[in-house]
Amino acid sequence: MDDPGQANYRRFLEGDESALFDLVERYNDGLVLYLNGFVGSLAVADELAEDAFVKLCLKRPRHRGLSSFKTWLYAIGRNLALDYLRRAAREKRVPLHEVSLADGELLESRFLREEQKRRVHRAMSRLKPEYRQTLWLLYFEEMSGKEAAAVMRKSVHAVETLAYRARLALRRELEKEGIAHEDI
Amino acid sequence: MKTYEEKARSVLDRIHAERKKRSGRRKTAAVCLVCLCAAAVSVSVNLSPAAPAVNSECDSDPASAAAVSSEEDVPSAAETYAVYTDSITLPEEESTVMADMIGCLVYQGKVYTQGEALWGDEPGENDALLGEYVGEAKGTLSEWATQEDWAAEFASTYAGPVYTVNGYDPSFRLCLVQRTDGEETLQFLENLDGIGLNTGADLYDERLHVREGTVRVSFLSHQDWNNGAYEKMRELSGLSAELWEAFLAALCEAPFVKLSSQEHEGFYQSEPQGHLFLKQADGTTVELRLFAGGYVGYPKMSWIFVQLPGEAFDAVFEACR
Repeated sequence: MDDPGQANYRRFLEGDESALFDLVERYNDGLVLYLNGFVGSLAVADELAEDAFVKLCLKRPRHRGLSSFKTWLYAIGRNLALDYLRRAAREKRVPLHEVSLADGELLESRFLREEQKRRVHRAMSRLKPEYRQTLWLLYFEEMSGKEAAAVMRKSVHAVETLAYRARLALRRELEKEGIAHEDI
Repeated sequence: MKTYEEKARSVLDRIHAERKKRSGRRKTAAVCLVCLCAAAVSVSVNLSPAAPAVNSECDSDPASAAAVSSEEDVPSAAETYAVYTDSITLPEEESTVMADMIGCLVYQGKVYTQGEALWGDEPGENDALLGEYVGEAKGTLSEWATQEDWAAEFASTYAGPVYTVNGYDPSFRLCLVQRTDGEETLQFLENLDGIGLNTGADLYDERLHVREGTVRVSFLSHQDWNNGAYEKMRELSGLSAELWEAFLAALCEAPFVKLSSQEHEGFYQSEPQGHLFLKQADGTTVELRLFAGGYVGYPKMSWIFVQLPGEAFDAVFEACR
């Protein structure tokens, strides 16, 4: 998959800090919505997305041309979300800032420009977290099975099995609302 | 919610602050190191024979090196083999971020990497596969794991109870049980870390038991496999039992060969290819990838294949395309 983030990330590593602005603009919304699928709070997801950018820029992983910037960013975001959930189970953690309902709608409409996609996304929110995450990576982020597997730390086969089950569950959810979605 | 610009500025501020903090720490550490050297103290946390460096990406493309590093060293052993799978080693650079994009578990000094996962709709559905409980995977490995983290027994990217798998040698296959939302997943973990192989039988018969265990064979076209269209998987039909038996026999008899990635550039992208799924009586599945020229590969085996003779290979290759 063509990943324009790679070039911007390289610029950043070479010292051009303005490239970070491009990276945040390009990837922030999708990442926040993806992480929201784990933590169920846009405010927390927004903080975790920021943490993911910081971590990636500080650690400077070597891509070696093997993986896209986006795959790494999402994999790191996923780890942070899982860490957050582990911590949250032990301590009640309150997000530093609030995200209003309007903010959430803005984020969604900015990232999912078509009404059809937004309806599917809302139906996805009723699925199990693992199904939500798989569908998000494959259909909204348009990652390949390989890339989604790298993010989710599963085998390609495991991701495809998950995707198959998730699609069936999503179809059922959409049918409840009387929506037939041929593409799913 | 922050605007993009505010968020980018906040990220930059945090990066600058962290770098400043680290630079201070480095100065302190340098002083401590001088003291340690004077006392002639040395500490090593290397795993023996090699600490892990499971590379990123997925399990079928050696260019993306899912399971094995490019380490060419052959382990010393009394017995010699035709090929050795690559040992999993930890890169020496400070960041091990490349080392953790595939699930793995450190057990008895070996790195087991993720294989197939089996889902159960009901808890306990796959319990027949579970053997002895061997310990608890710690889930301590992440992109930022240190050598020390990797050196610990049961260090892993997953957390959960680890069992042997009934019918399989624990030095090859273990399984970790994950329970979420009432569903149970058996995640198999396989040790392909520096193992020696002579013929296909060493892997497919002795370790995976496909000759006696296969009850159904399905396939996917390369295009469907590439698109992840697993719902298009079809049973392999139109192939006589004799031809299938001949294929299995040849698979076990054929010697393992290690191809050179330089000489075979583009091999994994070449077409045609076939993807076979051998359903086993115990519910597991063995996946094989077929390439023109008689080459058959197992996921995560990188550039190691068995090469089958034309007559045994061609009929199956034709049938699964």
